[in-house]
Amino acid sequence: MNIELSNLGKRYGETHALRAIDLSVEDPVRVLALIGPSGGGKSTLLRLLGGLEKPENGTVSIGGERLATDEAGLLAHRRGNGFLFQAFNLFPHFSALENVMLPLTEVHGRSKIEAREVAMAGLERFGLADHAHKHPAEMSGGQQQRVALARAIAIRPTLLLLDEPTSALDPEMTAEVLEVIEELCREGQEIVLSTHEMGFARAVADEVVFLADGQVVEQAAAERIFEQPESPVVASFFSRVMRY
Amino acid sequence: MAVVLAASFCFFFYAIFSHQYNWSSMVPYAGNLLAGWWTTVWISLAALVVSTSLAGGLTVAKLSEVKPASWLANLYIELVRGTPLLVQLLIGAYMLAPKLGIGNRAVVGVIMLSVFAAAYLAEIFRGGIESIAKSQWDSARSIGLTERQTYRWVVIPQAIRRVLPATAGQFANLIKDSSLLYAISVTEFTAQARSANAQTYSDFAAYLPLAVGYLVLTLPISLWSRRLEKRFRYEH
Repeated sequence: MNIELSNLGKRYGETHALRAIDLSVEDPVRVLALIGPSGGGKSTLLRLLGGLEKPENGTVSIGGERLATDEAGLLAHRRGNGFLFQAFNLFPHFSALENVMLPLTEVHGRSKIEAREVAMAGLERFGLADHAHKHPAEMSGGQQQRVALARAIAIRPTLLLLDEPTSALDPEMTAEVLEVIEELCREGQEIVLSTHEMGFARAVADEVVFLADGQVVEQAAAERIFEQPESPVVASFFSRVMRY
Repeated sequence: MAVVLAASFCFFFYAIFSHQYNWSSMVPYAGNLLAGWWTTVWISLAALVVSTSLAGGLTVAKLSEVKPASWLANLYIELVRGTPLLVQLLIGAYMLAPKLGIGNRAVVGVIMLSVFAAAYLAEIFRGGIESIAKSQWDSARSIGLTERQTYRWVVIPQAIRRVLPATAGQFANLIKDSSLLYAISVTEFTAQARSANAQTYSDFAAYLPLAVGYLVLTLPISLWSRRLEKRFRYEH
């Protein structure tokens, strides 16, 4: 992946979610993990990368192309990438299958028949074939997240952005979702994810960025940052979250 | 509370059934009553269609980013909801309709009922649309839907389910409110019942069939809405 952030800032009212950050991530990094305390700016950064928000200042470049700031450009950007939220990704009035089909038919111009095949294949792959005709309310949280992942993957996204994909799940469901994400990582899908699962971040990420208080505190290869964090802030965070 | 309620019911039924009705005097007016009932049915149906469309337009205007549009929609809604239907009917029929050259009172009735009900329906529709969680908008944006597509595929289908009970209630209100049209000389159901009573001298026999005639229309609506609600209950 090739991501360049320059002087990137975002505010929500009086709160500075991101304070003019600079960041550069290049090949051969394929999986980038954002870690750090809640409210540190992880979600905001992901939303900016996904074209869901506009920055107040600074620029985002992905794959060497500067991200648009007008609605039409951002829409085109969103159409080429996948995004997964913590929860409530699915539309409750559609079945799992219809949820996966919707972007294919409405956004990517596939025929109904074609979309159904692609969607079914995606659901089967994630072990959801038996749930294709269920509505989200009839599925577990883990199943819902896997359907949402199947939907995000179905369009063959350039970049897959995952915003704390398991933080609303219990440990068992967390495991089943992480398994699917790990498989995508192994296949070479380019992913940026924020997570509180430190073990998982270490296992799948090539590069890790530690964000706190809207700033990049440390950026390093995954092994390095977990073995020997340079910043005392990062070290103290690890000692707290990995204590139990 | 329960005692008061039971006592009220007893009194209600006593008042209704203790009266010596002269049903035979009503027989000659049965045809008129039926014709009046039929007028009520078609006026209500027409007003139902017109008011729903009008309310749709008002909702779009009210939620619009174009400030004057949402301001005008607000003004309309406040004016209509802040004045009695009877007053609106009188103004519409005696001040506005002659100037616009609309002679047919039934048509005036349809228009005025639609104008009235649309204000309430628009508020119901807006409430339904605004009740859809922000996470649904986020999710729709993330898969690349435009605003229009989001309304079409995500927001409106869910909003419809949520506003069904209130909408059905408003439809029933509309049918019942049409009884006020006798005030502008539309020969609908209530007007026919009143005239039948008047012509048979102080007999109230027509009022019971009148109530039943409205119930026949409003009960199916409430049953239908309950069925639809069940059909759309996928969320829990």
